[in-house]
Amino acid sequence: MLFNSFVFWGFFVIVLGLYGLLAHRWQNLFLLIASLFFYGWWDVRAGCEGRFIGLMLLVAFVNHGVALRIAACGDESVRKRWVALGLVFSLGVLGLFKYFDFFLVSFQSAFRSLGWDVPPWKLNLVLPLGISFYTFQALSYSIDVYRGRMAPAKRVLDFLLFVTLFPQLVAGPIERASHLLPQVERPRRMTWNGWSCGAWLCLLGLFKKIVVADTLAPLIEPIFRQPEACSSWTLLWALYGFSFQIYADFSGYSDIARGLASILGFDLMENFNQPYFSTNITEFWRRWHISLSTWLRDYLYIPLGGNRHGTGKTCWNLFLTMLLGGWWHGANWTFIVWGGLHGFYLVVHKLMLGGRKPVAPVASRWRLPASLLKGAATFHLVALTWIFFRAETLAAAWTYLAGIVSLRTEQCMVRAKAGPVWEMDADNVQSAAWLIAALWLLIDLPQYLSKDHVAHLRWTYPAKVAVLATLAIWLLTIRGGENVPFIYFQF
Amino acid sequence: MSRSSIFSFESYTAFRPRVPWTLLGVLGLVALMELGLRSLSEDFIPPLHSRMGIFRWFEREVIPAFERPQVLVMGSSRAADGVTPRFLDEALGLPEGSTLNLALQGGTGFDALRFYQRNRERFRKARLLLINVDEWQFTSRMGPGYRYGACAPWGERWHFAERVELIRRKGESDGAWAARCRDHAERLEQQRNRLLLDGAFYARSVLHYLPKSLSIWMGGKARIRVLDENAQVRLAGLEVGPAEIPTSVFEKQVRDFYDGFDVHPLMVGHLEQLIGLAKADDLRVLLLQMPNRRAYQQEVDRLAGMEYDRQSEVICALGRRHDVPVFCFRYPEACGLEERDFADYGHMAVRGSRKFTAFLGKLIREKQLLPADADDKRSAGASLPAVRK
Repeated sequence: MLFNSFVFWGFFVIVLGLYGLLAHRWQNLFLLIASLFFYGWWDVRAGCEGRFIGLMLLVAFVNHGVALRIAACGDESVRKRWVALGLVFSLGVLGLFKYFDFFLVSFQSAFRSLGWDVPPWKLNLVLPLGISFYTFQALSYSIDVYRGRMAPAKRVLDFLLFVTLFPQLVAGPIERASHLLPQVERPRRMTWNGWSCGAWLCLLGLFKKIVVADTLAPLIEPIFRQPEACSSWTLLWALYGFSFQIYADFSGYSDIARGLASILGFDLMENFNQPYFSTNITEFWRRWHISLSTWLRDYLYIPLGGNRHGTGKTCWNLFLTMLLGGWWHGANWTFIVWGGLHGFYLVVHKLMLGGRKPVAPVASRWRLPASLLKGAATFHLVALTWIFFRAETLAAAWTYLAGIVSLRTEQCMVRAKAGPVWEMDADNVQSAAWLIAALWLLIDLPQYLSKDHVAHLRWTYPAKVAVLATLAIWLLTIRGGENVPFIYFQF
Repeated sequence: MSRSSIFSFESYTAFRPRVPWTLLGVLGLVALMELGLRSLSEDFIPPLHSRMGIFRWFEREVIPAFERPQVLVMGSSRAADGVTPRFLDEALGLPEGSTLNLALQGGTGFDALRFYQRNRERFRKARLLLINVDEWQFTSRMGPGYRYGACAPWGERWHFAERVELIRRKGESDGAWAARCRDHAERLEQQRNRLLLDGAFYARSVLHYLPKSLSIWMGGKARIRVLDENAQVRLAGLEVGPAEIPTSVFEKQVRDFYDGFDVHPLMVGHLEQLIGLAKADDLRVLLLQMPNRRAYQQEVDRLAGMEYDRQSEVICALGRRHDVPVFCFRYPEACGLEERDFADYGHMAVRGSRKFTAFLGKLIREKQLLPADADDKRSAGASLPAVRK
């Protein structure tokens, strides 16, 4: 059930209608059933006959059981063993479904390169939807209980709802138990403000997904499929396009998730904060996929030692965290390189800063041009890494990168008879430019300047209605193809 | 209500309902735009040169030029390029201006039916209706076409997602077949939803044309389509086409046409309605499937042979049901055509069009498919069998 489908909105209207009538404890039970139905819709469609619902519930039950054991036990070594059990189990499940085949294939090819004959064999398991998200969410709970930052949930039903709450179940934000669980446990209040902010976030999210991301996707896809047939300009254009596609796709999902939750009376954390306005890579990671970057910081970087053991160790921790963060996205070397590149950028930025903290530039006439320059440089560094994120293999990523660096033109390729040449239609470039401009000027810039995701709702009535109507009409009249799943569903 | 009750309105205790002025303002603007677009003349938007507007352009510029057409040609761009009216008039011994070729780029059975319904008074005086049928016109993926979304009846939109079966591939496992059918059913539902939206919001079909329409209205240039000296509106202007086209180009085309291929009853229904109307007006009807370039057809046979055969069967069955002669030409040699007679995979170049029109004229003459006069309309060639070459 995709957020960009009519089925989902029919489902949500029914859920909302019934939810509002129920008392708090029944609301939680009802939302849990609705969330399992939401998840089961995909599960049954994927031919898994509900088995992955069972897997999700098992992960939740085990983590809850571990948390209860930890809370009940005073002996530190026993507590440690329990939390280790939770970690091994949760990461084991994730590893089995997501990474087992990757290891197998990698070992097989390594053995083959040594001249050993290894038969090709894989498990070919279906990747359960949202497994990376709900596993991390459940893990954070048992770790937080172990650290004594929170008490375990009083009722198992509340914890199950925390893990499975449908707006954020399949692609985040990866919520912390300390933030979301109290909202589950306490009676919620639906407010006019919550509804209007929620509706606005849903509209924004749908606009980003359906109008921007899904329109850019088919323009970019053929270029990434055959980069060897494209000129450098076309490759560069497609890279810019993909940078905005993935941003619009994922932040669109997060906006809808937050909007739906807001209507239901929940408050989910912000996941994106206009990342392409960042003026350095550290700032970018404070604005991009915030729920993952903060998760990695709190549960990986800091336990590794953080910045407490000198510059060398800090840099290594930073690099390793980003490498594993990249790997979290998928079992492919391309994601590892993507994470590694970001780790490298962060290390370089850390070394450039030395011991200083990043400071805002002094007010001068050079402030804006300097910020723009830094912003453009950061954007291009990030865009470069998207090549590895989008490519299916490392070889394909290198081909793409080499194509950009070669500075070849269409004429060069025709003269060199380099096979069929695929050039981007000028109309497509124009329509993509319009979309990106609309995304920036109508949505991101006002949000960035006001530091508020619902800034538009505080504008004067005519301005507010004009922008909302523009987005609504654009959304209503876009003639897309089939409903395209969100990119992050594959992780 | 006690606290232990299942039902409670406690969530709403902080809810202070207000008049949603912003929402009303937005809805008002959307409604204003929708009503405004609906009230504009169809000669203004969509622009007459556009794919949406070309239907109206034919009605305004082409049909009035044919006072009393005797032979009507309807169908897709392949018929627009492949049948040259002046040559067909000559081949059939008819006076100039007797053949009216109404085939459109992306033209479907629905377009043909709509042409006939809207211009029935003029068309009912004709003697022969020649309908060119392409495979993609039957499929739910492509058959609805550009103009269907804006003009389809509500009943059809609503029933669009009714079960339409895919063709099972040879050796396809039960699981794979079931998964494909599930995806197909879901895609149909999405299409149904889009069609319902298209019906509710005319803006979805025409709003993107507004800047162009305004520019033309203010004296800007518009691409003009031409009814040429042969009374034809050609799309492919090449005298002869290339001798060879890379197979990879065809492969994509075949995938576009045949991936998820089905025969949608509504798409077939448009042809049935058209045949019914024409027969009620005593027109002779002829169903025709024009040949493709041989190299392309070989790709079709390789990649989607079953689907191609299926659509041929549908056309033949349609002919049998309505007692209408059917001519399906699988390979170009059957019509005396060669590879260079095609501009691309299946659109004829000028030379191909000349050859094919002469062939068609001969066929109609030999099979006595053109009723001699109004009285003869009903009887001539009524029970000819379907021909597949």
